[in-house]
Amino acid sequence: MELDSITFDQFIKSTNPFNNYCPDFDLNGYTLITPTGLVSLSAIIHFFTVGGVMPTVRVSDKNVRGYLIRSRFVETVFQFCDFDPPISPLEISLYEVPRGNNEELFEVTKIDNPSTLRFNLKKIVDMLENKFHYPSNEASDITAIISEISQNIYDHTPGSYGFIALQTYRTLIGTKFLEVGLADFGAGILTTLKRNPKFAYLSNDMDAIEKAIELGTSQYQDKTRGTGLYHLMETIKKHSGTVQIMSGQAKFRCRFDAYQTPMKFPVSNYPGVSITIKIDSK
Amino acid sequence: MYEMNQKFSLLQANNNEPYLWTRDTGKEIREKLFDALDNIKRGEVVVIDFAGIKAFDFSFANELFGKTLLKMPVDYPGKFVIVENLTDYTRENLFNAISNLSLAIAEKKSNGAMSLLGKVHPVDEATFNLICQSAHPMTTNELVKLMDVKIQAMNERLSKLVDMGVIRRSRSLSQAGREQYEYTKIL
Repeated sequence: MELDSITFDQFIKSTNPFNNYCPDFDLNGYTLITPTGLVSLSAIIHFFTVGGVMPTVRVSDKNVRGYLIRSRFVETVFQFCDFDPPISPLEISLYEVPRGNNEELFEVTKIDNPSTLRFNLKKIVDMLENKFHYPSNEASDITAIISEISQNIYDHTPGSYGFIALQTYRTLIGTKFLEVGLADFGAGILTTLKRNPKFAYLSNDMDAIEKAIELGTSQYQDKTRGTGLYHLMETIKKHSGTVQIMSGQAKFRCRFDAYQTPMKFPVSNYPGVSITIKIDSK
Repeated sequence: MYEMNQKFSLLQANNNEPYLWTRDTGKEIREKLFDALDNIKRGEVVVIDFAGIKAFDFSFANELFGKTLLKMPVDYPGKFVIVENLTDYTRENLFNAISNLSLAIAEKKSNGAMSLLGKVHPVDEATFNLICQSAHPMTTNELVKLMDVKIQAMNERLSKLVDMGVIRRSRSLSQAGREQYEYTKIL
């Protein structure tokens, strides 16, 4: 079973953390956790920490535990949750790879201000070109949209932060694709847009997401704002990829390789925004 | 007199980094660009040099180009900014960024020719091209004859191009001794 952009909401529904005094995230049974799973769970654990709650992450499978260490998920949440069974420094030392040395993986990384973002964007564009072998312009396109959506994290909720991770996968037919996961636990799209009186009429998360991807939609009354999510959609369309935006009680998914019509799903409740991008690798 | 200009290297302004990411970077570089604009005289040009730049994001472009172009008529009247040394990739992205803001900027191509980048009506672009290709300053009457339009329509087009800061307008005297406007390319 995979914990990814499609199953993450089901995972939240089954663990029901928001109605639980001691949230319990049971990863047993999951054999693959994609960047969206890693960063969305990281963001939710940090969300609880702000409220003074210490969740538990249950995971027994040796391979999954190894991946959680290697992907720096464990490092990201170690102080903010308990692991069951506990993860020892010895176990960490067995699986830990120096940051940036993982094959096919850009580890879970905290994004909290412009300078850390710029530093990491430089690493991402370099990784896309030199490790994932994307042509220069495509690497730049992908990095540019990562930049756009990452800036929203600290721009829309000052003092807030989020997480990003990237991983390439090989399919059974030998093709490769890249998944980018980015998640925060900020105010969410609906609350953010409603700060602009022009969008005060918005009443639900799905309408807010659909409005947010239109050119010129922003919390700010500034002509030069409100292009980030619009360009995200345009760029993913250009590369025939997939984009998913989850915020509050809505999940909006566009597969530009297969369908022209977006898919819309009600979800339980995601505090903040979680964005997934999938693009075929060359 | 119009050859006075100041180069503004984006690469240098970005500490020799070829990627221009984030709105904050755009803001920092915009401050440096405004310093350059403060240091030129009316009628002179700041040439934004893209040499060495590989890519930028839209937030950067909106902050640097969007805000600069919106401020130019108010804060720097009679001064100009143009761009040069764009790659096909950076040109496409700059075009998209400033088109989405309904703005435009003049580009100096590698062969010295001028072109327009951004959201421009085809008839305004045709007028711009005629002015830029002319070896001498053009008057409204000349353009009216060449493009076969009414004088009022031509005046509207020329005002729009002047307001966008993509052509120069100067006063001169006609052969009959009347005051008239003449239009020339920026550089």
